[in-house]
Amino acid sequence: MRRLLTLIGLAALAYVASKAYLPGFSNITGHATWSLGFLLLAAFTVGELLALIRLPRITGYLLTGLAFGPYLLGFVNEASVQSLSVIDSLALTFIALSAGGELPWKDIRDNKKTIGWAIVGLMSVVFLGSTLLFLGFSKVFAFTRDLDLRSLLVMAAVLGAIATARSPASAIAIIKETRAHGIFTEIVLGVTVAMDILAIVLFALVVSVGQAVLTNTGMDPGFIIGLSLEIFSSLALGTALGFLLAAWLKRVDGYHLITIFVFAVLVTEASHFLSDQLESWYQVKFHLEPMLICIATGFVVRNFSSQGARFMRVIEDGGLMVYTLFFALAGAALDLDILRSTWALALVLVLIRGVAIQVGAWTGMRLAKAPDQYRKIFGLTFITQAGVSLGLAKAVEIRFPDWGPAVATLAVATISINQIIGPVLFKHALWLARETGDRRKAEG
Amino acid sequence: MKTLLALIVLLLLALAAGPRTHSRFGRLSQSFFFLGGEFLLIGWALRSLGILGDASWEALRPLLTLGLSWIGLLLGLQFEFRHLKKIPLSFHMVGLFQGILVLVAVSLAFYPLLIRLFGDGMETQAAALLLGAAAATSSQDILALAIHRRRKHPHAPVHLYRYAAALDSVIPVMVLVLLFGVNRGRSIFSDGSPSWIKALGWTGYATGLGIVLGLLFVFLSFRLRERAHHLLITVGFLVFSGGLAMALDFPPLYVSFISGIVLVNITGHHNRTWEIAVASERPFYFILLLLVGAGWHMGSYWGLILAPLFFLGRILAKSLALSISGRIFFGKQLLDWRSGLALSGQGATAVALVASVQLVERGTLANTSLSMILVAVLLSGLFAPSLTSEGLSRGVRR
Repeated sequence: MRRLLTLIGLAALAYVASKAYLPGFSNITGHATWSLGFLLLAAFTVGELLALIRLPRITGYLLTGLAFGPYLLGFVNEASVQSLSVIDSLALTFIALSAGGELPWKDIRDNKKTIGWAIVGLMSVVFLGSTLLFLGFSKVFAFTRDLDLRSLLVMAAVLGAIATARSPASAIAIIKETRAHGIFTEIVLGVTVAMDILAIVLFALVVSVGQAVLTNTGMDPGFIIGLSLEIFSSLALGTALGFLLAAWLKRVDGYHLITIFVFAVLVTEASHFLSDQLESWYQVKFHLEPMLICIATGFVVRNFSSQGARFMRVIEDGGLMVYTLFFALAGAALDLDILRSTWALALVLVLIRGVAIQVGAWTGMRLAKAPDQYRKIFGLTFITQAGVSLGLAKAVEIRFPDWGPAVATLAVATISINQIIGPVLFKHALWLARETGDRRKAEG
Repeated sequence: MKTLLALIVLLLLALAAGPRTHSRFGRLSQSFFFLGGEFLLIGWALRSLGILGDASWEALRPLLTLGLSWIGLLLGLQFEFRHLKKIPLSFHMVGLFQGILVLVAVSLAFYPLLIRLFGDGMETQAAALLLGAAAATSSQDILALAIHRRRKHPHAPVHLYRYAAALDSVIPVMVLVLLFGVNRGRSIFSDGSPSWIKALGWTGYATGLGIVLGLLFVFLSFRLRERAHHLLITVGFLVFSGGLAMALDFPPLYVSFISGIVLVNITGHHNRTWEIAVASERPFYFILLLLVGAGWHMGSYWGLILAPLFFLGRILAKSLALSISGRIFFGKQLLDWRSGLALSGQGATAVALVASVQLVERGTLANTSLSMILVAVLLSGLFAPSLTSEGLSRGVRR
C-alpha cells in the first residue's frame, strides 16, 4: 500500500511537471533531468511491487518505462528519451563489465563441455529452425507472399540470425535480483555471453552472404576478416585494460564506483573516437566494440587480479541503479505504434523462435549429457532479447533497403514481446533449478 | 561526443581530487587545493580553451542540478529540530543575527556602488542582495580545517562557530528563492510584473514543493535495508527534485534544502541518506566547482576590480557582526572583536549560490556580481584558513 501511494505521488508530480510550460531555457534541461530521476524512482517502486507477486523486478522497470514513456501516458516525452540515450550507452558498457565479472573462470572450466554443447545446440537449431519455420510460414504473411525465393531465403536467414541473439543484461539483472547461484546459473550465463558474441558474427556472415546472393556478386572475404579482427582486437584490448583497471583500483583509495563509471565512459567514447578518426583520416572501417572490451575487462579483473572481490562489490553497489535506469529507458523507447501494427505477425515469430530455442536447448543439454531437469528448463532462460538484437534489426534496415525496413519493424516488435515475457520465464527457470536465493534458503 | 569528452575530463579531475589527503605544497596553497579552488580555475580554463563549449555546458546542466540538490539536501539534513532544541537560544540568535547583519551591511555598502556603475533598478537591488547573501555565508570546511590544524583552542567557543557557520547558510538559500521569485515568477503571476511581495508567494510554492518531495523521500526510503537501494533512492530523488525544481523554475538548492529538513525531522539524524550524501560529497562538490568555473563569464571588468574590496569588506563585516551579536545576545562583550574572523571562510554555499544564478541569469550585472563572489571564494581558499585560525586564537575575552 505504501509503495502504491508513493508511486501515485511520484506520478502526480511528474504529471504536473510534464504539463507545466514556463518560458526559459531551464525547462528543456529540467524536463530531461526530472524524467531521469522519475524513471529511476518509479521503476524501482514498480519493481518492488511486482516482486511481491513473484514477478521479476526488471519486468517492472520495463513496464514503468512503457507506461510513462512517450507512447502511453507521455509523462516522459520523446525528446527526453532521446537526450537520455547517452546514459543508455554508458549503462550498457557498465553492464558488460558486470557480465565479464559474473563469469568465474573456474566454473567455466569445470562446465566447459556443457557450455560448449549448449552453444552448438542453441546456435544451430535456433538459426536453422527459425529460418526454416519462417520459410514455411512465408506464404501466410502478406509482405512475403510476392517475394522471390532468393530474397525470401536471405530474409529468413537474417531473421534466424537475429533470433540467436539474446540479452546478457537482463540475464545478469535477473541473476542479481534472485541471488541465484549454482551450476545451472553459471552455464546459462556463460552460454548467454558467448552467444551474444557469436550472434554478431553469424549475423555479419549472413548479411555478407545474403548481399552477395542478392546482387549476384562474389562474397567479400575482407568483410569477414575485418569483423574477426575487430572482435579479436576488442577482446585483446579489454584484457589489457583489465590489468590496468585492476592496478588502478588497487591504487585508488575509495571512489571505486566513480572509477568504474569513468572507465565505462572512457571505453565507449574512445572506441567511437578511434573508429571516427580511422574512417575520416584513412577511410578504414574499423570498429572496436565497447561491449566486448568491457566483458573482457570485467572477466580479467574478476578472475586474474587481486581486486576481483572489490570490483564485484562496487559493481553490486552501482548495478541496481544502472539496471533500473537501463530497463526503464528500454521500456520508454519501445515503439508501441510498431507493435500495434504488427503484433499478430510478431507473435507468430515469437512462437517460432520460442519453439526453436526449446528444441535447441534440449538438444544441447542432451549432447552434453546434462541432468534431465536441465533439458526441460534450459530453453526458458534464452527468450529475452534487448540491445544487441535491436542493433542487428537496425543494421538490416540499412543493409537491405528493399525489404529491410519491413523486417526491422517486425524484428523490433518481436524483440519487444520477448523483452516483456523473457524475464518472467527466466526467473521461473532459475526457481525450478532450485538456484534462486529464496529457494536455496527455504530448502536449507 | 564533445559533451561526453567533457564529462570524462570532469570525472577524471574529480576522481583525481577525491582521494587526495595530503599535498606537497606549502600551507597557503595546501588549503586552496584542499578546498578545491583549482577546480574553479580548471573549469574556467576548459571553457576558455574551447574543450567545454556552450553546447556541452548546456548538456551537462543536469549534473549541475544534481550537485545543487546534493548541497541543498546536506544543508537541510543539518536542521534536526530535536537536536536544535538542545542548543542554547542565544546560540541560535547569534548565529542568525550575525548572518543577517552581514547581509544587510554588505548589500547596503555595494548597492550605491552598483547603482553608480550599472544604474538603478530591480536588477541592481537583486545584485546587491546577492552579494550580501554570499557574504553572509561561512564555510564549514574552512572552519573544520582550521580547528583540525589548531588542535588546542581553550578559549575558542568552537561550538558557537560551528553552529553559526551552519545556520548562516540559511540566509543565502532564502535570498536565492526570493531572487528566483522576482526573476522567474512573473510568468506565473497575473500582471507579469516582478515584485518583492509576489516573490514571497513564489517562496511559498517552492516550500510546498520541498515539503511534498521530502515526504515522498521519506516514503521511498522507508524500510530500505540494502546500501544499493539507498544509493538508488538518494540519487534518483536528487535528480528528480532538482529537475522538477528547474522545470517549474524553483531553485533546486532551496527545494532540496526543505526536503532535507523534512527528511531529517521524520527519520532522525542517523539515516543512511546522510551517510551516502556525506560519503559522496567531495567528488560531487568538485564536479560542481568545475561546472561553475566553466560557466563563469566575467561580465564587466568591474567585477575583478571590486572583488578584493568585496572580500575585505566581507571579512570586516563578519568580524564586527559576530562581536555585535555576541554583545547583544550574551549580554556583555564576551567575544573579542576579532573572533569573527573564525567565520571568514567562504565555500560550498557561496558556490551553490553562484551555480543557481548561473542556471537562470546571464546579464552583465549578474555576471559581474558572480565574478566578485567567485574571486572572493578563491581568495578565501588562500587566506581564510589563516584568518580563521587567528579568529580561533582570539576566542572569548577573559
